[in-house]
Amino acid sequence: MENTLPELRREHGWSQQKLADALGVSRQTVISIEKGRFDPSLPLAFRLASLFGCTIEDIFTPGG
Amino acid sequence: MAPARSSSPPQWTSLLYSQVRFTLKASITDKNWGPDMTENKNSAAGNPVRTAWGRARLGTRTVPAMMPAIPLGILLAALIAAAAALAGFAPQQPLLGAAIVAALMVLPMCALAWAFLVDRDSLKGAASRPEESVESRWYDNAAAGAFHDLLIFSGLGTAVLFLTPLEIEGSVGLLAVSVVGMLSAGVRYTVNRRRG
Repeated sequence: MENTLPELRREHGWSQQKLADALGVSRQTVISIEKGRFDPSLPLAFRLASLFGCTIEDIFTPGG
Repeated sequence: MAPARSSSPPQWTSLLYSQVRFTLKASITDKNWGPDMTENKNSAAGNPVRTAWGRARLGTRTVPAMMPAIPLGILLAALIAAAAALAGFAPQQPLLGAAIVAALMVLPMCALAWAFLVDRDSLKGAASRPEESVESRWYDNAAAGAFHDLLIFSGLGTAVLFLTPLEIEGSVGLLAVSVVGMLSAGVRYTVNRRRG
């Protein structure tokens, strides 16, 4: 899955560690999601969307 | 997206994994997500400080996890050593044999006691939702792969022992199965981690 997480994170001025802490996951998880190597669970995707004030579809798109 | 769930990790890993699952389940039920779902509280109530070795709950208070883990580990090692002596390990010098067993077992038993006692929410750098972290996926994949490796190894081993005059002791066979399971899980986890 492709995602706009790196751009969203940079827009908000968040580091990977800060985002990981907010989500309650490891920093490696954020790195893997950003690289498209790890598809987050649905609850985690919802928390990401809630965190950035957008929908899941705004962050993740099929493909890649 | 769903990780493979049919896994049979080796005994040690299984034990620690059960503890991890138990503690994370406890931490999930202890979560207090706010309206925006972004903030959580530290479940180590009364002890917001996180340390490298963590803390253990004793009744209503918490203590450094190593404090109860070390004596408990020593006690477990002593019990195993006594059991070994009673079972006839080193019959000529049972005391020396028991001392060697105790010396070999004390560190693993302390580690095991620590793993069971520590409140993972008090560990420095521990993610509050490890089950949603990528490391959990790596572990699940490695455990599932190791399970299949064990099936193949034990199946082929059984066939070889059945079809040939080769004979091995049961303890050696079980040791081989354990070693293969641990090696397989370890290598697979490392490969998963390198892939990211």
